[in-house]
This record gives sequence, structure tokens and C-alpha cells, in this order.
Amino acid sequence: MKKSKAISQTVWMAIVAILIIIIAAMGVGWYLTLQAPREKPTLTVFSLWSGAEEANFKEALERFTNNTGITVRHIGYSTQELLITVPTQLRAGVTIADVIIAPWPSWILSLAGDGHLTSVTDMIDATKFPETYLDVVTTGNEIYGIPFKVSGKPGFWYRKSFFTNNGLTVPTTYNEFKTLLANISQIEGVEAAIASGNGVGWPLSDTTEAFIIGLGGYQLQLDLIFGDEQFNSTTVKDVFVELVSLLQAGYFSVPDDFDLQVARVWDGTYGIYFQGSFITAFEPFSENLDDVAFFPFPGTDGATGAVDYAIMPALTKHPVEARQLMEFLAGAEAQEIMVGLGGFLAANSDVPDTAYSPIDLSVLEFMRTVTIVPDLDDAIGPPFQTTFWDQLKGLWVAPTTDLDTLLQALQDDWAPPPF
Amino acid sequence: MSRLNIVKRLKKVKKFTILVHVIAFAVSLVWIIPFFGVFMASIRPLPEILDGWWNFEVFNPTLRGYIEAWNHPSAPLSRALLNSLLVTIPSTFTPIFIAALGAYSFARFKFPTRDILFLVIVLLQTIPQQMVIIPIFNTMIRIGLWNNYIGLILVHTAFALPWQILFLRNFFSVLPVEVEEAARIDGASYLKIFYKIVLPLTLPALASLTALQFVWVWNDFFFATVLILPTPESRLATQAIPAMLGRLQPDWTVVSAASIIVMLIPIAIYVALQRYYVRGIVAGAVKG
Amino acid sequence: MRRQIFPFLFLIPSLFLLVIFVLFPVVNTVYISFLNQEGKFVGFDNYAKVFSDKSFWNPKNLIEGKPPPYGALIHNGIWIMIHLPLSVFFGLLLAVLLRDVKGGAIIKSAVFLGVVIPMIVGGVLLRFIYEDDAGIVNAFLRVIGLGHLARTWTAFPDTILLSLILGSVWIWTGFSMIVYSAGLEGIPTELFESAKIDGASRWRTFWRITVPMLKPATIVVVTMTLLWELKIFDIVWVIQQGGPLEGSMVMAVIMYLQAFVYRPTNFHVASAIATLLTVMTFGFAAYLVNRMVKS
Repeated sequence: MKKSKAISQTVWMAIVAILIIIIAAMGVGWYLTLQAPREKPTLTVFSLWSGAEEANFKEALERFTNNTGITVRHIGYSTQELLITVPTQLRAGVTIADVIIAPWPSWILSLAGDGHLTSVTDMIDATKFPETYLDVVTTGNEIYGIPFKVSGKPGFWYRKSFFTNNGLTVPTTYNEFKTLLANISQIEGVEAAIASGNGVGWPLSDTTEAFIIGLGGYQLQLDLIFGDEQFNSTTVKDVFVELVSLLQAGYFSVPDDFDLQVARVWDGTYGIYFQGSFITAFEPFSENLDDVAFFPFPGTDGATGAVDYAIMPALTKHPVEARQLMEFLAGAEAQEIMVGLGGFLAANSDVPDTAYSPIDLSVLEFMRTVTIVPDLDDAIGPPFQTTFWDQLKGLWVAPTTDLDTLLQALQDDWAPPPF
Repeated sequence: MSRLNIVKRLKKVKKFTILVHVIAFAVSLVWIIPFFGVFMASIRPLPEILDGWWNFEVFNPTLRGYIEAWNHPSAPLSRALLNSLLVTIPSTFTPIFIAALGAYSFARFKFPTRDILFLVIVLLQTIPQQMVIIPIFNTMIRIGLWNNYIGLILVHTAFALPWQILFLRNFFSVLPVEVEEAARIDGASYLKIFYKIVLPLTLPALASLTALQFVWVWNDFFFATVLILPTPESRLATQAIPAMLGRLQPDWTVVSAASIIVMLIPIAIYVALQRYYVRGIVAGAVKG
Repeated sequence: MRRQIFPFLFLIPSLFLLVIFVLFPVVNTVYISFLNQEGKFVGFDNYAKVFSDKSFWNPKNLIEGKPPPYGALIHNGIWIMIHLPLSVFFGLLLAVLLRDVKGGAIIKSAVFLGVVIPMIVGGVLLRFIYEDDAGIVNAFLRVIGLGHLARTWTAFPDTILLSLILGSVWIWTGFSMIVYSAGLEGIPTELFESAKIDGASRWRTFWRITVPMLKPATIVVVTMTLLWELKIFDIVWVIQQGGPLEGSMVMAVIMYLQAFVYRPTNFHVASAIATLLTVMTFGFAAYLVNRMVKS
């Protein structure tokens, strides 16, 4: 028992020390989490951007700071995290983000429906934006998203010299397209005619939508979004049957990371690549833009435009400053800066044609000749979107999948878009 | 036994021992290779990893992975590790004090409802995190502790109590009562007895609780992800790793380096307190 | 009177926290599971909804002998059926083998690391080893001549579940090994010596003495492992969040998705899933602990 007395001294000191550490740690934690508001309000923007896109966006934000003196902090998230983080903080009533930039109209409307967003109707001049862009984020006569950056999905990209060296011509009809695929497949060194992109699934859904619109018309896409057409109808099934026949003929490559596929199109492993216009920002395309071109899906009357919208939470701590930022993002000045990265289009029609690189201009001019429709899965939203992506991933891997089951699964998960 | 038989037996034993050693080492190799692989991946450039980290013809070690993980734009480990410590340390020591008091009460005092209360507390051990997370989420919002480390610390503390109370109560029951009774006769208060006599003797048990709880809280992802909004400043270490996986092909160099850094802490605790950690588990009073 | 209050004073902090953060939430979750989105009482509606959800319960593929997905509940069941025997067996094997091996303690520590690391990191490790080019599993396949099977196992719905299960055996075996090691040390050596004198073979000794004496350890291992398998979340989440095509969906993940990700969020269905999960956890634990107390 003498030993316990000797120990208790040291133990006592240890306990006191630990208590001090605990209190200190909690104090620091408290301070760091509940950061006191600073005198000059700093806005926080959430988006999906990283790397080059983020740098480009920061340029626009710098211009904003120069104009108004308000500093802006940008945090880029993965798709997953943004989808979870934003609704959670909005529901908790503790929003960190003052402005959020996201490409999912149905998601935006769902948040608006829950009362989490501020209406932007009086922040923009609606005439400067294409109607279809605004319609998908409007509910109850109020607009909730500002179209900020557009990425068009114009068609199949290819290396011009690859075509000329192999005597290939750009197809103008669907049959010519099939012939092209057959010809490409026979070129030495080519593993597959069409490159397929990997990831959560959007490269495959983009490609599939090109077929839906190309073979079925832009109205088919709209009808599917709004529920005026069923996925298991014969019209849609025909499109998929055609797609599967191309898959089974081996015309599509094994899906791999969408940016790696660019290099493979460049070196002739693959012939063409259906992608959005932003693909021109990726190497080796970006270094050799004069050898890059696209052709639209032959005979198509529509194209999907994916729009990045800026939205503003209703409970932002800095409504006045956030509003200023939103109006800035809606304006031609900000959007012209974003176009500078290349591969993107502005939503605001005031942005002059001269702001675009030749290749972007060609995309812009193409997009003007067709009806722009929303991206199918972005408009309908989850859970359809996840099912769509998953089903397509499965279809690419095993093109003999029972189409009835697949289409039924899509139909089952369709829900009317919230507008 | 004849001499020949003894020799035969010894040879048999030797063969067997060799066989056992060989199998043991083979199995161990299987277990350790993935860790070795991650370590290799963390110090080698991405192209080398994609060719297979087990190939050593081209070998250009780099610290890039560690540097980029440390300074990652959306999940800097420099900050995430600190944040995890800020949550883990209080979450480790607070429940010990509270549980010790409660366990002592169960072990030493007789009072009505004692056994039922104890049984209920023991049963609470089996509750999975999913069962409580929705009401806790709502409660935290209501009391303004959502996205606040204090809220997370409270939850971890509460969750630790059932198994810690059980563990300590069993420990206390085995401590001889005579010393405490002698002190009581000398006029010491219950609290004094507790802190000056009982607690020091309990140190080995406390070490076990510390080791187990620290590792558990550090490794937790579920509570953290629901209760803390992930920004570069507020992310915990376990939240940082998924953020680094990114949308495209993961940059394995960076992800591996981050994984190594984040797992080194609990491993260090385990190594430092190994004996107590294992004792804690073996006492059966550990949560899955 | 004072004597009566004193014990409760010691208990107040514990009770306070437990009631607010454990007991009340449990009751609340069960309660919510019986309500619908508008707050009306709907009995077992949510539970029916859960079972009619193909992400949770989809035995069709299983019955037809096709590969996953089979729904979260069945996935957890498969996880138990494969992971439990394997990790118990390997744990015992390693505990026995490494008992008398030089450096056995160090090896045991290394094997146990899987239990000590965060499961998020565990998931990342698994994803890494199953990658097409960068993963050792495929390298191994190529070395033994099965290279045509090589692929990124975690990218396909029909293989991800099994890959994760086997990977989780690697992670968790350390636990059963450590418990069995302690159990082995607890067996009095006299038993072994008298068996040797009686001329019993190693094999016989193992089955007639070692295994029965390890019964309490076995019950601990089985209980804890079972609970771990039912509650598995981090590993599945970090790799494919339950995908692809819900091929790796498990109950904890689907509960989280329903509560926080899917729009509109549905706390009530999520609570139903959580309650089902807890009932199963509790049921298994109670049964096994009961057996332990009896023996």
C-alpha cells in the first residue's frame, strides 16, 4: 500500500495534466469551428471544379474582388460530396456556402421546393439566356439558378490528320456513320472505333443520349424527361437495339478514364470519341487544337447542353454580398472570363463571338443550328440518374443484357422532374 | 524408449517445426504484402505504380505523394490530422472519467434498480451507429452543435460509456475492498477514496480503455461524416481520404501516402499500448 | 437517505449522456420508423416498403443462379456466410501456428494491423489491390497463368461483393487470431502434458482438448465478427458507395443513402432499416451471449 501512495502523486499530476489538455483541446476546437465573423465578409463558393477549371474560375472571382472589394473563397468538391454536403447543411440551417455552382437542374429544383434557395428572377435579365436553360430551374414562376457556364455535347471528336491519313470522311447520314465505324475498325493499330469514357457514368450516358436524340429526335429526349414517353416503348427500344448492335460489333472500346481516352484517340488506338466540348481542354487535344474537329451525330436535330448553375441558399449569412456575386456571375464580364479556358460556352448571349477560340466558335455555331435540350439524367435526377449510369456501365461491359429488363429498370426509377 | 526411437521422434519433431515455420511465414507474407504495397505506392510516381509496384527495374522514389497529401487543396492532411486529434483526445479521456465514476458505483454500492440499470447499460453496447444517427443529427441541429467538434465529442463519449462501464465495473469488483474500507473508517470521503486509492490502482484498465477508445474514435468515419461539414479546414482525417480519391482515376501516389499517414497514428497507439490494447479486446468488452 | 443518493450522484453524468445520446435516439428511431413523411402513423408500411425495394431485397438473381446484386439484406447474409467461417478458421490457424514460432509476436502484430487501421483506409487498400494494372491480385493471377481473368474486380457488379468479402477476411482475421491467442495461453499446460504422456497425437490433442477449451473464445470471436459483418459501412462506402449497380450494397449503406443522399430524403424508411439492422444485431448477440453464459 505504500506503493500506491507513491504512485498517486504522479498519477494525480498526470490526471491534472490530462485535464488541462482536454480543456485546451476543446477550447481550440470550439474556437476553430465557431469561427468569429470577420469585419470584411468573405463569401464561400462551393463547386465541382478543380485543377484548370478551378484556376479559371478563380480568375473570374479575382475580377469580382477587384470590382467590389469582397473576398471570395472557393472550395471544390467531388460530385458525391457536393450532393451530400449541400442538402445536409441546408437542412441543418447552418449554411457555410453563400453560393453554390452545380449542374443538376432537378436537384436545384428539389432544394428550391424545400425552401432552401433564394429566387434569382430579379438578379438576371432573362432575355439574355436561352429559354430551355431557364425553364429547367424554374418553379412557381420563380427562377432559382443562374446559367453560368455551358458545356455543349456537340458530337464525335476526332483527329483530323487521322482521318485524312486513312482516307476517312465525315459522315452525313447514319449509314455513312456505320460504314465509317467499320472502316475505322479495320485500320491497323485501332482497337476500337469509338472510345468509351469511364467515371461515375456520364460519358456513357452522354453517348447514349446522342443516339436517343440522333435516332429519335430531340423531342424524344424531352418526352422522356417529362414522362410523355416511356423508356420501354418501342421507339426507345429501337434506339437501344441499334446501340447494342454496335456494341456487339465491337465498335466501342472498354471504358477507361475519360481523360486517358483522349490520348488514345490521338495516337490512333481509337478513332472517334463522343464528348462534351470541354474535352478540348485536355491534352493532347489542347496542345494541337488545329488538328482537332468534331462532327455531329449524323442527321441529329438536337444536342444536350450541360449547364452549370449558380444558386444561392436562402439562409446565407451574407445575403447582400452574395447577391452581388450572383449578379456578377450572371453578367457577360464573368462569363467571358470563363470562356477563356476553352472548351466552354457562355450562357449569356452578350458575350461576343470574338471571345471564343476557333474551335469553340465552331461548337457554338453548331449549337445554334440545333435545339438545345437538357441532359437526360441531370434533368430527371436521382435515383434515375444512378440507375441510368449503372445500367449503361453494365450494358457496355455485357452488351447482351436483356433490354426489356434494362428499359423497365429505367422506367421504374423515372420520376417526374420537379418542375 | 530406445535410443533409435528417441532420434526418430526428434527428427519428426524437427520436420514438423520446420513445416510450421514455413507455413507461418508464408501466411504472414500474404498478410503483410498489401501494407508493403501501399508503402511502395506512396513513394513511387504514378506511372511506376500503374506498371506494378512490385517491378523494380525503374525505381525513382519520390516524396511527392506525402507533400501533396499534406497540402491537398480540398483535404489537407496538415489540418485534418490536427482536427482528428482535437476530437479524439477529448473523446478518449472524457468518457473514462465519467465511466469510472459510474462503474465504481455499480461495483461498490448496493442500491435499488442497480442490477436492472446495469443490464440496460450493458445491452446498449450492441446498438449500431445507424440506429441513433438520425435523432442525434436532429438533436445536434436543435442545440446548435451540428458541425461542431464538441457535438461529435459528446456523441463519442456517450457511445463509449456502455462498454467502458462494463469493463471497469468488472475490474473494480476484483479489487480488494479492504483498503477502501480502511480509508472510509479513517474518515475519507467517497470521492477522495475514489481518486486517491481506487483510480491509481485502476491504471492498467484505464490504459486499455484509452488505447481502444483512441483507435475507435480516430478511425470513425460515420459519425464524423454526418455531424461535420467537410471543408478543407474542418475535415477529419478519415474524411480526408475519400476526398482525395477524386472523380477520375485516383492519384495512387497521393492516396497511398495519405493512407499511410492516417493509419500510422492508431498503429502507433497500438504499438505503444499493445499489452493493454490486447487485454482490452480479450476481456470481451470491446465493440465491433 | 444520503447513502441512497450517493451512488446515483456517481452515475448522473453517465446516465445523462446515455439517455440523451443513446437511449432516446434508439426509441426515437423506432418511433419514426412507424411514421410516414407527413408524420402520420402508418404501422409497418415503411418496413413493407423496405422489403419491396430491390436495393434491399432481391433474391431473383440468386434463385436463378446469376451473379449479384441480390439486395442489401442478402449481401450482408452472404458476407456472414463467407467471412465468418474464414476469419474464424484463419484466426485459429494463425494463433496456433504462430504460438511457437520465432518472431511470432511480431507477425501477430502485423496481422492484427488490419483491425487497428481505419476502415476507410482498409477500403482504399482493397480497392488498390484489386485494380487491373496496379493491383497485386491481378499480378498474382497473371503469374499463375490465369491472367485472362484479370480485371478491376471492384468495378463490376458481379464481382465486387465477393472481392470485398474476401478482402475483409484479410482485414479482420487479426481479431480472431488475437482472441484465440489469448485463449490458447489460458489453457493449462498440464492438460497438454498429460495428453502427451498418454501418447495422444497432435491432431487428437487439438480436437479433444484445445478446441473445447477455446469455446468461450470462440463465442466472443463469433459474436464480435458477426456484429462487424452486419454493420459494415466504411469499406463499401469508400470504394463504390454500394455500387456498381448496387452490387455491393449493404444495410448500413442503404440506410445512410435513404437518410442523407437520395432526394427526397426519407428518414422514416432509413429508420426502419436501422431498426431491422439493430434487431438482427441484438438478436444474434443475445443468442450467443446466452450460450456463453450457459457453458
